[in-house]
Amino acid sequence: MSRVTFIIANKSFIVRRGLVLTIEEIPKLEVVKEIDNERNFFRDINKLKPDFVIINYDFYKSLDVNDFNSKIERSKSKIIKLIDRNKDEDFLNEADYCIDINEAKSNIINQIKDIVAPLLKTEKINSTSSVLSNREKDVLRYIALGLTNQEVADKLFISIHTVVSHRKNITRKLDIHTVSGLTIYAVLNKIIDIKSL
Amino acid sequence: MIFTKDMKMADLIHKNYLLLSIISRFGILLGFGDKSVEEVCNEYKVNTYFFLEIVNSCSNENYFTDVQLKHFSIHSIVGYLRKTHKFYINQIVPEIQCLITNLYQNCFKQKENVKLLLNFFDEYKNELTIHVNREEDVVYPYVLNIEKAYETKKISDELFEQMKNYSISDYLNEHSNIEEKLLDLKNLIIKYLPPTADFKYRNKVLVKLFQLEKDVNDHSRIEEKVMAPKILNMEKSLLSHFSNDNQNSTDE
Repeated sequence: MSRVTFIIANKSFIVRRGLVLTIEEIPKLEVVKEIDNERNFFRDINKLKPDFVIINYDFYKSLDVNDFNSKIERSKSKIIKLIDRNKDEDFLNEADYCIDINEAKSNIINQIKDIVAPLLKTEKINSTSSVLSNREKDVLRYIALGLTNQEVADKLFISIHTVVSHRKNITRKLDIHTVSGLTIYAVLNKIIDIKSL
Repeated sequence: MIFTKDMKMADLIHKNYLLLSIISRFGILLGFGDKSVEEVCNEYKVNTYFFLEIVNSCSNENYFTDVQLKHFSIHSIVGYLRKTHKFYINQIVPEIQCLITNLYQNCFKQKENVKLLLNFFDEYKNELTIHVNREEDVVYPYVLNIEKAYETKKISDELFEQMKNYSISDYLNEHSNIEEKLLDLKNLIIKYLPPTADFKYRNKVLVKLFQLEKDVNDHSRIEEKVMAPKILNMEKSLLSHFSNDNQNSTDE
């Protein structure tokens, strides 16, 4: 996972924009959607599966909150409550993540950083290997030579699904999306010889 | 910030110099002193409001969320899109090509590698040209015909058939992602081409690539968020109008 994603559910345009700007000041955090009404709330959450949903009391009240947790279970999203400590007392449980809208900017940023810290930690371990594995290099070599997925699969005695998944990983790691781009990468990194093209 | 007709044209460029190429696309030349946007537009017979919509949408990605551009005819939108195509093909693409050639001529160790980039950009250029030609030859004439039919409430059999077979929603589906190659080229130059002695041309190529990419994105956004939805509505209305009394559809 390269980014931590958020959905902001709030009826106020100004509050939503403020949250987006604040969140996106923190590296690797991204707001994937702003939701301004309750109509498609559960559908959007379960479709986009954000890591976190930031919701305030007014919005929460407007939802059909019976089984709130089981309705968003599929998304595995965690809830962050946006509270106003002057009035939303009964909205908050001890265990919840929360952000207080009255806090200073630096405090809000720190609160968010604390909340996302566990996710960013696991991500670090995964992303250390942005270099290609030997197997991925094998796949890349044949792709660069112009073989189809099926041909690569036959050459390497692996299934076509495995080839496809290697290709996805290669593209993700290198951030190169076209075959000709991959070919140049392969030449530059001496995975294939330019004369073999 | 949102630009308005009473601002000085010069201030637009001070705020966002990327608008330079857009302003020349409208045929407006530099040297306008302290004249306002409206004054300059009138002088060059450019529709001020259309001009403002374009510069605002190019300066602010979210601008189309409360679309004003809907008020402009397909005719003026297509006119603008055609001018941006000209800008790609006649200006910025040759410029980039020239810069990569300069990079090639100025590097000693990696000539072969840079040659690959040159070929890669050639491929991109071909893709872009095919894309542009298809829009110029097929898509734009089609949308202009739809607008005409919508306004005159007259539709030829030919166009009616065409509309049933090829809707603008097909265009949206096939609207190919030509930005991918640009993105790859940027990454190859930033990350993967080993350090070259010459950084001057390498940087210049990148700056131009970013400019082209932004322009292509703005261009696609106008097509997908403004032109296509507008045509989709017209298609729907034409379809329901002429399916009900099919006899009238043979007018032309």
